[in-house]
Amino acid sequence: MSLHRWFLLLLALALMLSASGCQQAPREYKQTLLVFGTLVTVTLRDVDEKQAQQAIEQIRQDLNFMHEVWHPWKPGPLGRTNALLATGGWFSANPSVLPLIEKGRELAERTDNLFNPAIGQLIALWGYHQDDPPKGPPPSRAAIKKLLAQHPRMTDIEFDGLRMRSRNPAVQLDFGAMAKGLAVDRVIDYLRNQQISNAIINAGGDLKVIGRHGDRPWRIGIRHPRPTPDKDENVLAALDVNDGESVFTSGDYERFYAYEGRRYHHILDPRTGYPADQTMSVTVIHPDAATADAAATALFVAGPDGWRAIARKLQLRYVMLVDKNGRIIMTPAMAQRIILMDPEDEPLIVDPAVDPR
Amino acid sequence: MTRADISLLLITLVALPFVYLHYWQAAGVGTTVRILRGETLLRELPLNKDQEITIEGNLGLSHLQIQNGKIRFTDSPCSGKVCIHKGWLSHSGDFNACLPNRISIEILGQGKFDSMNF
Repeated sequence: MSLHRWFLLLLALALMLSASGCQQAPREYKQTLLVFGTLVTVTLRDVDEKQAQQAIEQIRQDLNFMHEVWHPWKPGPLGRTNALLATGGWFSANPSVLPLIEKGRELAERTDNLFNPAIGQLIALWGYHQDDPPKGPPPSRAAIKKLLAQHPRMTDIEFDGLRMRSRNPAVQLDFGAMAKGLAVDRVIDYLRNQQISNAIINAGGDLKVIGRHGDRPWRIGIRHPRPTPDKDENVLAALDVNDGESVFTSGDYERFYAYEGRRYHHILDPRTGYPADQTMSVTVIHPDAATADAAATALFVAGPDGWRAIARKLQLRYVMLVDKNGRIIMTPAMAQRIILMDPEDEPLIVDPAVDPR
Repeated sequence: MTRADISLLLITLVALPFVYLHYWQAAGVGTTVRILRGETLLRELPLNKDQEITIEGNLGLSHLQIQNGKIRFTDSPCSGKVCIHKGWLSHSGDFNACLPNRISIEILGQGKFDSMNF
């Protein structure tokens, strides 16, 4: 063969190899862990196998530790703190729960107590304090009323140096609406310290990312709050997530039980003591996963009428709310980034910064 | 150009779409499902073969159905039935679990999404 034929042959081979080359792209390690009372999927890119295995094992240990320490009713540090808060007396604060209490106080204040980690007794009354969902029946109206009348608040807790107490014996701490976020923040910090620069941590559907997926951003799907049983598509929207961002969704479909034909989900309105009933789901994007977690809960409780005021106080840019009728409401910044899968969905775009309500 | 050149070009042009399809097809659709008890991998099944599967978990039997590239829980011995309510999964990166029964399913493959939020 002459030179130019060889060249042509090489060109053909090169084309085929370049097509198959993308299959051998950087290795991706994905492992699902049954920790923190949920499924946690760790996805790591551009790491070698040994480093990936070590990191995943460390994440498992860390999450198990945080789950134990931050569990409101098990006999760990937060469980003991709760027992001591109920006495009303002074006691030495356990350092491992202080970050939760500090963050919880700040977020309760900034959400007008719609995220209120002091209502542990109410959550336990409904049975949503355990890893496994309750069966019902719902608690009596009188029992709920009695707890609400005691007005447990994070501001009831006072500190004196390293000692703390609650002025209100009804305060029982349950950080269920924030702990997962704080845990995800910690895992991401650990991965960054390990020089892992491309990863996703997905803890039971809520996630935070580092870096990118090769030459494009990480791309996620947001599940529809009401999937049609016979329809293939259960995805509401697609979203590209940037380095350091977390995406948290609170939905009424995540944990619930049905009793005598009525559904009772796990997101309780601290004002009424009952599951908040104006919203199906709220999605928040924020660099701080603990904030995203608590904000999604607070905005869910606030509902389609009240979410703007809370979003303003938290200075949230990216919010999407699906109300009880399935109407999609979102901020202008969210609308610019999110891609709704159903072209017939027409979201209502509302800017909390300019909308007076 | 000689006949050899032309045949070589033709072969290349004919082969390219196949190579392309082989490596870049199925955007958005997961290809296999991983079924776990706790963290133990029990089975890895293709989503292109319709079938019904029964898996024993902590509480009892979970029933799964694979159909047209999707999978769902059809029955499980939990009280809440949240796993069944979640419906079909088809996208890679998506997962669902019957936590009380410790059975989970996860879609693998090169898909539209790297992870699912809910």
